[in-house]
Amino acid sequence: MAHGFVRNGTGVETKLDPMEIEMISQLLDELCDLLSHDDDVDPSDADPLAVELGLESLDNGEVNPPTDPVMARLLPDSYRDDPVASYEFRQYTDAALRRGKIEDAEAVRTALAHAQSSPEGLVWVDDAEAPSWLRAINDVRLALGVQLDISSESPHSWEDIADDDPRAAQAALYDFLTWWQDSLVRALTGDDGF
Amino acid sequence: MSVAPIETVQPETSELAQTDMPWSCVVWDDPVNLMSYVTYVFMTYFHFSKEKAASLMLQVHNEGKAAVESGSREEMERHVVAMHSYGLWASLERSA
Repeated sequence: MAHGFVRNGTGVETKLDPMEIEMISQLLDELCDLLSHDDDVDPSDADPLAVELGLESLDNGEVNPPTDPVMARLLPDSYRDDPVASYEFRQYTDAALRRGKIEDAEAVRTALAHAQSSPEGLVWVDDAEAPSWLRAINDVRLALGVQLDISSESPHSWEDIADDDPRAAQAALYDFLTWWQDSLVRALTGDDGF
Repeated sequence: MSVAPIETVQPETSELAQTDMPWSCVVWDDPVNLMSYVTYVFMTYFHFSKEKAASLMLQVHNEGKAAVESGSREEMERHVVAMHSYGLWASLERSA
């Protein structure tokens, strides 16, 4: 059973059991797969040199708005009422935004691999690393939220999900990560309630 | 004999504000993002006081959205992308 995060010097720490580490790591891997899988870029007129130099968002084929609902939530339009401005802006921001999210997830993934090899499953989050952790956990929660169809009207719609429904495991993970992220924020800010 | 006052055209305050800060970074309510996390993002990214951050978070929660910052289009674009990196649901709007 996981413990909440507590402050220890210049960071915060907690313990996770191997099963919890495994589950979170798997979700982070899935997130990275999704973010690095560019279904929305049309490679037909990609410039190979630009791709090699990592400038694909500038010279590559056009970046279309994501069709996958999870990706649409992670990489939303920046101009709500102006699809043209959103489209143009996306050409310049998509690659860096994806890369930043992947780097956050990979940083947490690496730290969890260390935790897995420590005898007590000790997870240490330095204050400087905290934003990466929070962003990565939040992205995983956003992805699960879309898959569980969480909306403002039905924030806990899965209460009706039967135990043998495959989504029951996702719902349990979502609840766990909600609690875990909240515990991390409160330990970082030294706040036991906003 | 009286001296007629010199007429000068004073722009309305709202016009001034519109010229100086034509764009806003608007954060929208979202059923997944935690209240504690949204407050944390406002405090750490925008360097708002805890009171201001919590107040804006509540405005997002209760009213569905809040303009958290105003300024030039380029600045607001940078903020919106930063909010997307944090997973907050943000967009640019012309200031009202």
